[in-house]
Amino acid sequence: MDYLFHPLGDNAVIIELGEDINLETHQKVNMVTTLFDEQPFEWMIEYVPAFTTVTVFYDPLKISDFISYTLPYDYVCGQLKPLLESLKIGEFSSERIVEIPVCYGGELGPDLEYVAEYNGLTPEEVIHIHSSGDYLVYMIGFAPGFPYIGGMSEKIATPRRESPRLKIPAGSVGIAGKQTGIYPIETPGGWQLIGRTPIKLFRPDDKSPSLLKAGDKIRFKPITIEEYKQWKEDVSDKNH
Amino acid sequence: MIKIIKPGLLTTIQDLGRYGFQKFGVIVSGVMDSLSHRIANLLVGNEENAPTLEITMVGPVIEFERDTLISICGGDLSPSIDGKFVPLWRPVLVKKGSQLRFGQCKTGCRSYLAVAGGFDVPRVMGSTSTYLRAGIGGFKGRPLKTGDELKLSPPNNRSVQMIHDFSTKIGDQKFVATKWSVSAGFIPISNKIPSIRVIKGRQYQLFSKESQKSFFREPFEITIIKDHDVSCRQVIRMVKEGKVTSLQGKDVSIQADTICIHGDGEHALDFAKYIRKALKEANITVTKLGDFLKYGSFSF
Repeated sequence: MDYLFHPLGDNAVIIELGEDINLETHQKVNMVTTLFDEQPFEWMIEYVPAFTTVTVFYDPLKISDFISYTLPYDYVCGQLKPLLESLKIGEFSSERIVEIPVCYGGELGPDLEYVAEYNGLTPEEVIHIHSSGDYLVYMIGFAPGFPYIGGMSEKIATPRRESPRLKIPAGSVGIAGKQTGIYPIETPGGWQLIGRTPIKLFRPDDKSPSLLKAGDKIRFKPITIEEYKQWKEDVSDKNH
Repeated sequence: MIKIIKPGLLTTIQDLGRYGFQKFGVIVSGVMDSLSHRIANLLVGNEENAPTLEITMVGPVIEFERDTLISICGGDLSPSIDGKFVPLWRPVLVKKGSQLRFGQCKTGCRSYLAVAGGFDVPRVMGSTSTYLRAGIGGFKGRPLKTGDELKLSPPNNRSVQMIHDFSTKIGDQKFVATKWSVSAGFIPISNKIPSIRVIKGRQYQLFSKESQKSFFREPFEITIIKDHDVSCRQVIRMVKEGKVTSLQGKDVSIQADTICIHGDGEHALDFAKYIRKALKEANITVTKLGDFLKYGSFSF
C-alpha cells in the first residue's frame, strides 16, 4: 500500500493514503483503522481517520522511556512502516448498514419545498430520491457524531442557504451542495433542512458515543410525523 | 463545598482532556495551559489530571463552606481574600466562610484554581472537562453560574497532612500560604521574548523560500497602536473599505464586524468614548453584541 508520513506537531503523524476523495482511498483508510483496532500500540493515544489520511497521536514521553538514540517521530514511523507495507487493498470488508428513519418536510423539514423547486421536482420526488440512495460515511467530524456522507444523487443537490440559521435542532437532515448530512447536536448552520430523524447520533453516555462510524453504509427511511413522535417518546421513556 | 457568588467571564471545570474520541468528532477539550493546571494540582497533593477551575480573564467570586486547601497557578488575575492578595504558585489554606475574588488581569489570561481532592463531578467519556458546544462534562456541561454549589472530593492523606500543618499557623487569619513557591524557572509567563517552537508541517514546502526563511528569522510583534486618531482611522477604513495596512505597508483585505476595546489600557475609557464618537461621525452604527446575536446573522 502506498503512503506518506508527515509530522503534525511533536505528538502526531499523518499517514497520507491518497490525494482525492474516492472510494479506493476510503477503503485504505478503513483498513488502516481496522488494523489499529485489532492490534493497538501501547504508545498510541488515538487515531483520527479523514477523507485521505489517518492521523496517529502518540505519547512522546512514553516512547522516550524505551528508545535512546531515536526521535519519537522516527520510532513511530518505524513501527507503522511494516504494518502499512503488509496491507493489501481489499483484505478487509467490515461493513455495517445503518437505517436512519427520517420524517421529511413540514415543520421538521422547512426547506424541502425549496429543494424541490430548485431542482424542478416535486417534494415527493425529492423524498424518493433522497431515501433510495446508498450512502457511505467517509468520516465523522466537525461536531460530535456528525457524518460526512457520500453518495447523494446530484438531482437533489442544492446550494447552502444565503443566511444560515442560528439554531438547527439536533437530528435535522440537510443538503448542502452535493452533500447530505445529519446534525447530531444543536448548532448554527446553513444547510437546507429537508427532514429530521428521531434517532440520537451523539450518545455521550454510551460505550460508543457516535451512532455512526467511518465506513458505515446508511439508508434513509421515510417515516410519518406520528411515527416520529412515537419514536421520540420511546427514546425518552428509555432514558427515564 | 464551594459556592459561586459571581461566575466571572468564563469559568469552567477542566482536566487534561478527553482522549480517544476524536474519531467520533469529539474534541479533546481540557485546560488551555496544561503546565499551570498540573502544577496547581500537585501543590495541593492531587493527581495531575484532577479537575481544576479554568478562570478566563475576569475571575469569579467564590465562597468556601469549610477550610479548604487551594492553589492558584497560571495568569495573575489578582486573586484576593478580604482585600489581601493571595499569592500564586503555592499551597494556600483558606478558612471556611472566606470569599475569594479576582480582580485585574495582570499577566496571561487564564488562571487555574485547584482544591485538595479536586471537584466532585462525574466523568463523561473518561474526562471531567467541560465541552461547551456539546453541553457535556464539567459542571452540568456549562460554564459556572451564580449560586452553583460545587462538591469537593475527599482530599488524600498527603493533602490532609498539609491541611493539618497549616491549621496550626492560621490563627485568626482568613488564609495562610507557604513562604516558598514554585521556582520561577517553571513558570511559563516571562517578560523576555517568548519563543514558540515549531515543527514543519505538511504544507511547509508550499511557501516560498523567502517566506520560510523570514518566518524563522524575524521576531513577530503583537502590535499596539497608541495614537487614538490612528486607531480610529484604521477601524473606520476596515469597516468602510474592508482593508487594513500591514506592518510591511501592504494592504490586506479584512472583514471587520466587531471591535474589541481593551479595558486594561491606561486611557481605555477615554478611548472608548473617542472611538464611539468617531464611528458615529463616519456613519457607522455600533450594536450591542447581544442584540446582534438576537437579530443578526453570521455565516458558518
